[in-house]
Amino acid sequence: MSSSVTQLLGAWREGDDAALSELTPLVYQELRRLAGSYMRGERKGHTLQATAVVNEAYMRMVDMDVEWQNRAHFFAIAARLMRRILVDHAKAHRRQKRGGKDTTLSLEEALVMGEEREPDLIHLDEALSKLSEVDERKSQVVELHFFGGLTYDEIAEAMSISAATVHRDLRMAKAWLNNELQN
Amino acid sequence: MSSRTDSVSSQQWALLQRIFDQALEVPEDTRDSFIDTACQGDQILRKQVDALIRAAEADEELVGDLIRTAADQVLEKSPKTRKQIGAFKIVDVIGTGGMGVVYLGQRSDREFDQQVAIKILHDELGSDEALLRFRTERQILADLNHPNIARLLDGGQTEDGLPYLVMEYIDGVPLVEYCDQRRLGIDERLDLFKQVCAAVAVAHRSLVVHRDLKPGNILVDSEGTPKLLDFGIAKVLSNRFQPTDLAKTQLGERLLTPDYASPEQVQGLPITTSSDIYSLGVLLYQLLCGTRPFRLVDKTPAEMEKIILNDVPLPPSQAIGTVLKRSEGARAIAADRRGLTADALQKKLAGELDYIVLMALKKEPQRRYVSASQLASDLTRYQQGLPIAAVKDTRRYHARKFFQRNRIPVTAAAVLLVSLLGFSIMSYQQARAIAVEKSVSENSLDFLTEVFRASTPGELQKEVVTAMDILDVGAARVETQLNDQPAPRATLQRIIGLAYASNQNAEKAFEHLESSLETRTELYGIDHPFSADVLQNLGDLYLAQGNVEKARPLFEQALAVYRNSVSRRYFRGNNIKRQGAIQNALGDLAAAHRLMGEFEIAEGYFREAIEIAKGLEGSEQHVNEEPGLMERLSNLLQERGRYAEADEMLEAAMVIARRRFGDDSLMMARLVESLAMSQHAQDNLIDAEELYRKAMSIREGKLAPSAPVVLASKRTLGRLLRDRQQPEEALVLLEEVVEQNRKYFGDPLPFSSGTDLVELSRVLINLGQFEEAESLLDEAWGIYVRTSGKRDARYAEVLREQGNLYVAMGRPDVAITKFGESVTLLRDMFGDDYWQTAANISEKAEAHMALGQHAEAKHLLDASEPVLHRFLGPDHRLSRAATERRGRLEVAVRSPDAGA
Repeated sequence: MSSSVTQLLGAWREGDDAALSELTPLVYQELRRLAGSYMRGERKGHTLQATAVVNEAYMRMVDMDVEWQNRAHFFAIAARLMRRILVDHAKAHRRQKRGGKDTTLSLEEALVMGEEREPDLIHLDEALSKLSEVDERKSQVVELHFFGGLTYDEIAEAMSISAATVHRDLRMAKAWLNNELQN
Repeated sequence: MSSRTDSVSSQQWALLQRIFDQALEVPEDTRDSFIDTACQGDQILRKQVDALIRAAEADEELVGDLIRTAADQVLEKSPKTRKQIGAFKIVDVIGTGGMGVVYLGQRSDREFDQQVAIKILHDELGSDEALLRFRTERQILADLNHPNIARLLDGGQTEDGLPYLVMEYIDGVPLVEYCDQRRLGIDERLDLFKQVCAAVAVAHRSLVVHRDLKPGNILVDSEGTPKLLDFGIAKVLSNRFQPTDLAKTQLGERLLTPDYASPEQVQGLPITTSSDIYSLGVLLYQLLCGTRPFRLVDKTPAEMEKIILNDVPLPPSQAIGTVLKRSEGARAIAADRRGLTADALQKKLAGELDYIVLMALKKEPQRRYVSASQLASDLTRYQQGLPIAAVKDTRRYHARKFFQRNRIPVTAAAVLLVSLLGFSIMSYQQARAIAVEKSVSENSLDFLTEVFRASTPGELQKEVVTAMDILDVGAARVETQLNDQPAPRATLQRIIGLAYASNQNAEKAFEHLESSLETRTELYGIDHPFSADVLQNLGDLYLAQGNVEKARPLFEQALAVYRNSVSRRYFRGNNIKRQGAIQNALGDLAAAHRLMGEFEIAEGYFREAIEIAKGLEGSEQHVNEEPGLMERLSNLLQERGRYAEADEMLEAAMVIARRRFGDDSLMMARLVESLAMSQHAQDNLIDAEELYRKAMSIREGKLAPSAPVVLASKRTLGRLLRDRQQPEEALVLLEEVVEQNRKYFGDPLPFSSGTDLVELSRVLINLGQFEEAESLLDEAWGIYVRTSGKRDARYAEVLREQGNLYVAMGRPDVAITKFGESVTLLRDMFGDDYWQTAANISEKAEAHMALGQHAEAKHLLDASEPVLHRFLGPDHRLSRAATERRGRLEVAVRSPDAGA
């Protein structure tokens, strides 16, 4: 598997968009599998779980001698997919919480739900989509950094922008998202 | 959610970004005005910028946190749904780590309740071959039996086919946390670490490699025993039963704990026992200096790998604090967690400990310590002051190179031999000292039994046998009976000497302490703490006699011995005892300097002693001396006229004493009395009286009326009443004190009674009973001359009262002589610029006035009054007395018959 993923990555980078559509389900599958079995690591405060999952997927799926740039592109895909996996899960989780019936709520239930209006991942996902409407690049940078665990340099390479831009984008995006989620 | 961004145009957005970016670069105090200008009155824009800046400054990792929480939920795979695994009921989820969920299980099908940790792997085992390997590995681990290793108790497969392991459940604190919380010193940390090494060594002998050694896997239980968790579990539970996948899973594994992973682990090379040695090295590094060898946070796997493979770690002594922020603050905190100053910690780590750690952290496995026990024994050698292998390795390495070049191979061996010989002689002596001490306790018991048997009324032909009688019997026997057993004899002589000392029998106390010192010096040498203990006791005795000249060098010598005997010898494993000894010596040295009038030196020593006492707080092996030392320092401050500081210190001491000893403890009485003295000296006589009485009532509630501190209370209260112009009440109290002294000690009175005689004579002068006062002062003088070597403040006090007495008796010429002597003494000790000297000079003026020597009197008053005002303020009793004196002098000068 690893060699085919590597080839597909290479092809995609060369401009073969078809390679991406072939690549995506492969990565998605592997991420899901890993997410199911991968456990919380030791350094909770520093490395995101999602990051760790993406890392491991990468190591399982891609040849070790792959070019560094290909690595960045793999992470770019994986980050987007990771976001989707996590949001899907959060939505399923929310449905489960409402007892499966996503229909009418009693007044009491509505009040309880109201109290739970703390920002969650679904809100973040919505805010991120909103951000992408105003500033597509910033939303991608956030995705790569937080869901894919890429460093500034890697993001810079994957998106062909400077590391300083990555820094500024993230700073503003974080502030914007924080502000959006707090309201 | 707000909708204000919906209509944002790309132009507006770009402007918002530009202002936001620039505003963050502008210094905070000018930021507001910058934004004002930049927004050009656009209120909506201004609001948006403000909101963003606020959000950016809040520095909340909301985005990261949300994703982290969501990821945790996905990854958890609802671990709480399990109720039973094998014979164990699931009680709780302990955590998720390694490659599985860990549950707290309980076995309740038997008579006893057993708590266990159950680890379940998420992936199925797959092939039969894998299952077989899982079983084999499990059996090896189950056979691993060591007090410092959490045992593997059971294992198997769950109903849904997941493999699990059941382990001893350890309720403890991770090693590093444990050490930091308790502020363990370096030696204590090494002792714990060596236990970890011992456990690792045992496992290695069974060819079990831990693979994942890190602080979280080493818990210290409630009894202070370190326990290693998950030994070899990484291998059993790892998803590595298909050999082809080996390299990659190892790389995957490193994501769990790259901080402790060895270079070979990171590279996916075969893992051996040497990999555990490396991890131990990282752990030791962290225990010693509070940071890990490399900073891997926020690095990509590739960057981590590069660092671990290529970077050479700083020696721990250089890395105190954190690698990134090597600020003074971080250093100080790291050092404080080890009970040291930053410089002291650096000094302690530099050299041998650096070498040991770096040897464990060598990149090449074959250059590290061969075994965990070799690492541990090198640490022991360091603790014992023996040469260590790690240093030897590099020295030999250099020596070999040198000799290869120079071909003179003899000298090195010779040097090594000599140094080895030296060390073995030292440890021989040490062993002997320990053996000797062991027999002391047994022999002492026998001896005491004999003494008590011989101390019956019949044997002694007395009606009542007192403790003093028993002491005399013991003293007589110790020479004859223990003649051939010097060590127990020296110990008993010391105890007997101390008993005599506390009964004010200085002569016999000196006799026994000196012969104890002689014996101990012969047995252990003068620079041994055993001998220093006696030096200290002798110093105390001299000090109690007022003989500062003799006391001070003894304290200094004892202090030097304590300071030089590091924990590895007499105080081995008992650093608290050593610290306590140092603290006592410092306190006594301070007292000596105080009596010599060297207040600054005394203050320094007191403060150092208090610092140590603070460090010993909470240690059960040591009585808390902190409030006592603070009281002594406070007295010193009072003497210097620094009343505010003195009172503050006493109040702080009271907080500690209240907590440690209770409100009506004798320590509280002591502190209350000291506060009373301070109020007294500040002329707050009403407050002082109330406090004196409070101290006295605490003491009377606990002690006999003849107890020295009860008498001290009466003396201080008596003195106060005299100052409150109630000489009759004062007389009753002070007479009782002197009477009790006479009853208890007989004639002559001991040194400590001198003050009582002086106080009583003062009241008698007030009451006009001059003859009695005169004889008491003569008696006090006699006591001081007999016991004290150097003429100090106490002599001055007698002379000054004699001066006052002779003025009152109308013999000013004699008074002038007495005052002259006391002023000379005080001047020698404290200089002219001191309130006691000034008060004395002022009183001397009184005698000159009585002789009509107005010019001389005026000269003295002019010189002393400003000093009194400065030290005590103009409202103080002594200042007022001086002012009143000046008034009388002026009247006398102006009166017509004054022409002499």
